[in-house]
Amino acid sequence: MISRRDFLGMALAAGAAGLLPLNAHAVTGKVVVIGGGVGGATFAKYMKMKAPQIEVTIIEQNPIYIRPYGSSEVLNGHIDMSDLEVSYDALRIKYGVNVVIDKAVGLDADKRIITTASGAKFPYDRLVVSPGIELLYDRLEGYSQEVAETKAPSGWIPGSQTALLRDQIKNMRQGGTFLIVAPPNPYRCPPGPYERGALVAEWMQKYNPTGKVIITDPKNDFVTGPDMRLGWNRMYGYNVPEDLQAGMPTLKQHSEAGMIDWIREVDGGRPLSIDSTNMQVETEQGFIKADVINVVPPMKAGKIATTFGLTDQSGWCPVDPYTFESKQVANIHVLGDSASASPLPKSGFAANNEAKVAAYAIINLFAGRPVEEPSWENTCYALAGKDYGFMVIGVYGMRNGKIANLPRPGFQTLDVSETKHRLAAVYQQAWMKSFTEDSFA
Amino acid sequence: MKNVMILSVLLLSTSAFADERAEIMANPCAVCHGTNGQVENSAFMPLAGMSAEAFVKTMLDFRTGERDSTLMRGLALAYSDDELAAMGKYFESLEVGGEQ
Repeated sequence: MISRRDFLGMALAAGAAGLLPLNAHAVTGKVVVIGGGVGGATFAKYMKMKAPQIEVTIIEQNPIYIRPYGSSEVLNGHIDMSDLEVSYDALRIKYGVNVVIDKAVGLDADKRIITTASGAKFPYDRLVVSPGIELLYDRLEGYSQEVAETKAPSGWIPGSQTALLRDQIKNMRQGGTFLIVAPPNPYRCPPGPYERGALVAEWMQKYNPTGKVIITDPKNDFVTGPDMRLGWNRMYGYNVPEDLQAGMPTLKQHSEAGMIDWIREVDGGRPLSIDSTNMQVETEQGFIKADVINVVPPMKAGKIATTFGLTDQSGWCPVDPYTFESKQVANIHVLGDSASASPLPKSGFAANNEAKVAAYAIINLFAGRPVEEPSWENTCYALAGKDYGFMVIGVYGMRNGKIANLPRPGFQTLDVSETKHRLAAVYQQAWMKSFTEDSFA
Repeated sequence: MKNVMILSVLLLSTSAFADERAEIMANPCAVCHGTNGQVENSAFMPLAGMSAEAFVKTMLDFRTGERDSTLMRGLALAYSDDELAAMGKYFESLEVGGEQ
C-alpha cells in the first residue's frame, strides 16, 4: 500500500505537479487568525496538519477557551464550569501553532498587518477572522451588559453569567418561575434556548417540582421544533398548540398547565422591555413576572469584524462560499458565527467545517491553484432531557454558485422509539468529546 | 521502475473525484469519527483503514434502512454512490493508529 504522502512526493518528482494533487508540504505563507474558538482553532489545526511549513498565529484574548456548546448543562449541574474549559496546548505543542494571548485592535489591510493591544505587529499573507458573536444587550429596553452581569444573565457567551444563572436557578424559591427571553433569527445555536428550558425543567422536577419554565419568543418556530415540543409534551406537561400538531405521533393531553410554557410571536411572545428591579418582562401579550430571567439578546458578528469593516447592513459578514474570503476586504477570511453562510447554521459544527474548507482553499490560493469544490455537514444533537436526545442532519454542497441544502431528511422521524432518543443522548455526550478533539486537539 | 509506479498510482486514483475533493467531503466525518478517522470513543466507529468496500456497503445499508441508524441514514441519502466510493477510498488510505 502506497501512502498518500509518498504518492505526492513521487508526483512532484515526476515534474507533473500541475496535473497532479497538490503537494501542500511545499506551499509557504503566513496566516494570522483572530479568535481561538471552534472556527479559529480548527482552521489552525487543519492548516498545520496539511501544510506544516505555513506559519499560523492565533491571536486570542483568553488563555483558556470556554466552550459555548453544551454549556447549558452547567445550569442543571450535569457538568461544572471547569468542564467547559479547553486548552490551547495541543495546538501549540502538537501542531506548532503560535498562540498569542493578546487582543487584536488594528488592521492595515493594504500592508496586511494586524496590531494588538500590547503594541505587537503581526504581518500576514491571509488573515482569518473568527470572533464569534457580539450580544446586542441594548436592543431590549431596560437590558444592558451590566444588568446581564448582575441581575438577569444571558450566558449565551459562557462565563461568569453562566455561573450566575446556575446559582440563581439553584437558589430560586420553590414554585418560582424561570423565564427565558428567546432571540430573533439569526442567532448562535438555533435549538439552544429551548434545550436550555428543557434541561432546567428536568432539574426542577427533582429539586423544585412546583417551579415553572416560561419561554417568551419573537418567533413562531425554531430548528428541532417538532422534536423538542414532543419531548416537552412527554416529560414536562406541555400541550402542543393545535396548529403545530400535524404529523406528530399521539400526544399526551395534559389537563393542568405543565412545567414548560412557550409563548410564540402569534401569542404575543415578542419581548418589549425588561424591568430588572421588579423582575418582569413586558411582552406583546402583557407582563411576565419571574424569579430568574435569562435573556438571549439579538446578536451580530463579533465586534472585531465590525471594527475591521467586514460586516454589511445585516450585522454579519458576507463571504465567498468557496474560500470564506470576505466580500468586503481582500485577503481576509471570516469563519463561524460571524460569517453569512446561510443555509449553514450558526453552530460549532458549521464553524468547524467552514474552517476546514477555508484551510484547504487558502493552501490552494498560496499555491496559485484553483480551489476544490467545498462540502459541509451539520449534525448537531440537542436534548429535551439527559436521556432524551435528537438531532439535526444537514449536508451542504455548492449548487449554481450558492451553498445549498442537499436533499435528505433533516431530522429523524417523530415516531422513533424511546431507545433511539436514549441513544441520541449517548451520542450527544460522545459528540461533545469527539467534536472538541477534532477542533482543538 | 519509479515511472511505472507513478502510472499505476495514477490509474488507481482515476475516479470521479480528485483525491482532495474526497478528503474535503470526508472532513466533516471527523467531528464524530475523529481527525484522520482516529477516535478513542466507544460510541463512534473509527474509520481509518476501513476497506472502501465495507465503507460503501455500510453507507448503502444505512441509506436503504437495511442497517438501522439514528442520523447516518440522512447523511447516506445526501451523497451519491460515486461520492461514497471516493470517501471510502480516502478512509481506506488512512493508517490505522496513524497520526490523529
